[in-house]
Amino acid sequence: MAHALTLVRLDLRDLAAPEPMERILDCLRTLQRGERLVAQTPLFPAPLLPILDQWGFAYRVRDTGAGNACIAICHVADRHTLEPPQAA
Amino acid sequence: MSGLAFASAPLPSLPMRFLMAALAWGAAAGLWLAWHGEAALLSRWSPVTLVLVHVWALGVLGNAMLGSLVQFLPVAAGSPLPGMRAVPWLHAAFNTGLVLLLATLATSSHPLALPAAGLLGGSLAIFALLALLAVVRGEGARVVREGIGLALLALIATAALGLLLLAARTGWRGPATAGMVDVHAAFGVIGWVLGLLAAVGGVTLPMLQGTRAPPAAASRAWQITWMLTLGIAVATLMGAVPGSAWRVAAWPLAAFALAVCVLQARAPHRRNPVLRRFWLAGCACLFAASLLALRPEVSLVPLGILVLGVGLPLLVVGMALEITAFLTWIALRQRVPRGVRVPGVGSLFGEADRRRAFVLHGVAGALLVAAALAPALTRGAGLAIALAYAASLHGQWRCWRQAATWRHDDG
Repeated sequence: MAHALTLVRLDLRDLAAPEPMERILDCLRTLQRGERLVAQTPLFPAPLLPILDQWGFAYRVRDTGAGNACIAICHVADRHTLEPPQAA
Repeated sequence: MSGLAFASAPLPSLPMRFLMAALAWGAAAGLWLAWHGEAALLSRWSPVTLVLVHVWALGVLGNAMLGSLVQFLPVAAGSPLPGMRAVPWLHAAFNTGLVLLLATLATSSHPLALPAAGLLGGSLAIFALLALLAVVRGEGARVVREGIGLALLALIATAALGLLLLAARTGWRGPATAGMVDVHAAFGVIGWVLGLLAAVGGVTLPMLQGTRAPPAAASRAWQITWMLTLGIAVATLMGAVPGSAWRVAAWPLAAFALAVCVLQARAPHRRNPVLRRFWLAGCACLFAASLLALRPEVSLVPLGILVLGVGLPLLVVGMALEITAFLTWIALRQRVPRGVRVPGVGSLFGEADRRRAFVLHGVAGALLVAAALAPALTRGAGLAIALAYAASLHGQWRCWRQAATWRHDDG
């Protein structure tokens, strides 16, 4: 159940690369089990994804138009609760 | 999308090898110019000039554009380059083929022409086909993918025409006409380099310089008129229009330069001032070249200097330095364990180093343009170019080395 996770939201669309990635990774340093980070990014965050795999996070990415994307991230143990992120 | 779908995202070392080669070839171009002096700028047909043109076009611009594609395809087209393991081999084949081509052009040594054609033509064809596959498979913005795809088709056309010209030069077929050389140049510079810069720039200008994204309708209009321009170049070759019509091919330079300036001036978030200056100076050269091209009495040498020797290199060098810091940060982030904070991009490749690189490239470019009017300056311009690229390469290497050497205690 995704709604059981505490939600952390970031809107990073106005930041220059790679600051959105830096902010997301900074945030993940303190992301606990049972929490989910939803970040809006200015571009598809392709370079971030291998790092998330390496760090043991699960994620879903959605294209939100105008080149922007929305990524939802949680610990792998919570991945069953991950659902397509909402941009709003 | 699952993480497994992006298991093939490029290792940062893959684009880096192209970007380092681009700067190394830039230093080689400067040394070549310093060695041969004004003979390198007298006529577009001399072997010395042909070598210089291909060092800039393939060594500097080619490496930079191919490396940028490896890095940006996943972001811009929404799909990575297939067959990523082949990239180091393609890089080696491309640069070895270039060395052999330069030797062929410089010495008219026919035995080297065939391996040069095989390595260069083969690596470019394979790279272009793999990138086209990524573009077709991709889920990124359609106008961006189509722009990249059209540029790749122009690359294939440029390489095919280049092979025909090489065959003519080595006597395997009849002599080439000047028109075929012009079309080869137009497809290479306007079709491949400018086409790709415009397509990828629609993503990188907002991302790295804080501009608004160009409207999709404007990008589409650009693509249509850009294709018409290349059509005029082909019509010129076939004799369907007067030979001087090729000068129309200069208008995309003006359109691109003006579009970049307008986007920069209206940027809601101005970022990376050094990169902005690189692009502003490069675009000023492209705009000047487009104006000069309208004057029939102006020879092609000063146009080539402004476009190939200064304008386009300023754009790609600025981007290469910016991407280097970005790739170093990604490589470092991948190496350092989770939980350890790594230095930011700005401190990996310091602003002062980038400013110094811009000043050196600016002075070298100004000297090269001046050498078109005062040939006695040519050797000095060559040395300045070699120094600018060597300093940039040194800064690039110092930045990239941190991906392997940075320790948590250092921070």
